[in-house]
Amino acid sequence: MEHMDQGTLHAYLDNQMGTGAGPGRQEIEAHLAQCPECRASLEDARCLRDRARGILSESGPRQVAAPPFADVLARAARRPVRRSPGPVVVLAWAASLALAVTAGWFARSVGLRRTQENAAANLVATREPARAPAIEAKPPATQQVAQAAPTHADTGAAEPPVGAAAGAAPTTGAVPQSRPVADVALAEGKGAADTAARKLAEAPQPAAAPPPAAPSPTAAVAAEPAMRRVEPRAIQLTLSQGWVTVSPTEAARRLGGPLATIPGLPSLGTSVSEAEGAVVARTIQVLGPGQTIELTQQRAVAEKRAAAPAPAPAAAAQAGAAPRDTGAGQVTVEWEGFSVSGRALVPQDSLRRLLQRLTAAPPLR
Amino acid sequence: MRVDWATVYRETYADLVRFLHRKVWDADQARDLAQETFVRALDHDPDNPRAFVFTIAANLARDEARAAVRRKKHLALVKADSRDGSNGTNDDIDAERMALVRQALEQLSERDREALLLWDAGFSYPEIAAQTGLAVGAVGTTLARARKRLVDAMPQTVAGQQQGHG
Repeated sequence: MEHMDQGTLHAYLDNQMGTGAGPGRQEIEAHLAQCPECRASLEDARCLRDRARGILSESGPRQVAAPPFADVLARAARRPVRRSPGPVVVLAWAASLALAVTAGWFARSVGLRRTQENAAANLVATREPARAPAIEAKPPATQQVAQAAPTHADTGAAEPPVGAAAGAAPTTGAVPQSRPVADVALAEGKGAADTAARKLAEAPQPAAAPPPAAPSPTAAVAAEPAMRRVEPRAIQLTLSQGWVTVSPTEAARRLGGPLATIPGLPSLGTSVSEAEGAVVARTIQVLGPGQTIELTQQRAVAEKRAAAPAPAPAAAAQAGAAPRDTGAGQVTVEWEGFSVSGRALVPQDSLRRLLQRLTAAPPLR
Repeated sequence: MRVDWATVYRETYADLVRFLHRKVWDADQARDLAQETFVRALDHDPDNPRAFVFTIAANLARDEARAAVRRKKHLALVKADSRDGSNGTNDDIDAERMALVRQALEQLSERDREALLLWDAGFSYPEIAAQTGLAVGAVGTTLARARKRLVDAMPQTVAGQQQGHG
C-alpha cells in the first residue's frame, strides 16, 4: 500500500472510516504500523485538526442558552401566512365586495316586501319618532317627493343600487315614479341604510332574489330588526353555560380522558362547563405578549363517529390530529376521541400547526 | 413518526447559534436566525431533523449574507467593533480575535468552509456530504484542506498566542 492521502488520515482521525470508498480502519492501522512516514503525517494531521478546532472555538459565543421553546411556537403563531397573498386576496376582496353589493340589493328588495307584509310602520314610530312622520307622510308616488329626492338621496346615492335608481329622479322629476320615494326612505329613515342591507346579507339565510316589490317608505327600518336577530341568541348561548375553574387533573377527570394542551405554552387556567350532560373543558394558554389561544375540548359527537365508516376513526387516530377548519380564527381537530377547537387571533395556518402539537396536560406537581 | 421539535430545539440550539454566528458574525442575529430556523422547521417532519435544521439555517444565513452585502459590506464588522465590551451578550467573545478568525474563514472556499463548520457542529461525514453535495469519500480531503487553510490563514501572532496558552 502506498502512502495515505490527507483525506484518509483526517477521516481516520475523525473516526469516520468506512463511510466513504476509502480503506477501512484495520487496513489503515496495519499500514500505519509499518510506515513511519504515514505515522508522522497522522500526527501532523492531528495537530492541524486540533488547531483548527481551537481557532473555531474562538469564533463564536461559548455559552449559548436556548430561550424557551414556547418562544419559537409563539413566533410561529405570530407569523403571517407565508404564501404570497397577491392576486387571490385581491380577487377575494373584489368578490366579497361584489357579493355584498348584490346581496344588499336583493336584501333591500326583501325588506321592501316584508314591510308590506308586516306593516312595520309601528316600529318606525317607536324607533325613529322624529323622522317617522316624515316618512309615513309620504304618499306612494307624488311629484313633490320625486323632486325632493335628489337632496335627500345624497347619502343613499353612495350605494350603487340606490344611486342607480335615484339617478333617474332629477331628470324625470315630473314623471310620477315610485322608486325614488323608497330611496328617500332608505336615505332618510336609516342613515346607515347600506350598512343595514349588508348586515342582512350576512344573515344566515340570504334572500332568494325575488323581484323588487312595490316600494314602501319604511323599507330600511323594517329590514333592520330582521337582521339583528342573530346576535342575541349567540350571546345567550355563552351566558347560559356556567364555567367553573378547575385544575387540569380535575378537568381530565370530568372529561373522562386526557386534557388537551399545547406543550410549552404557559396556561392561564382551565375551566369546565357541564351543559346537558356534555362536559366541555376550556383551557387558555399564552402564545405571546398579549396573545392567547383558547382550547375548547369535548367528547367527539357519538353519532358522527357511528356514521363514519369503521376504518376512518382508526386512521384518524393514527394520523394524530386531523385538522378541519370551522371558521375564521378557529380550527377544530379530532384528538384522543375528543373534538378540540382552538381559537386565537393568528392565521389559520399557525392555528392548525399549534393544534397538531396537542398533548395531554401533565399532572400538577 | 412526528418529530419532537422541542427536544431537537433543546439539543441543537447552541450548535446552531454557533454555526450561524460564524456565518453572520453577529450574536443577536445568530440567535434570531436560530429561532427563525425552528419556526420554519415546525411544519416539517424530516427523517434527520438535525440535518434538516442546519440546511434551513444555512439557507437563511446565505440569504442574510446576501442582504447584508446589499446593505453594506462590513456592517456586521462595524457592529461587532462597536459592541466590544459594551454589550453583555458578547462579553465572552474577544471581538478582536473573532475578527481574525472571521478573516481567516473568509479565505476558505464556500464549500470548504461549510464542511468545516458542519463538522464543528457535530455532523458526520455522510451528513456533511448530503448537506454540501460532496461525495462522502471527498469529505475527508475537503476537511483536511479546509483545516490547513484556516490554520495557515490565521496570523502568526495568534498562533504564537495559542502556543503560549497551551
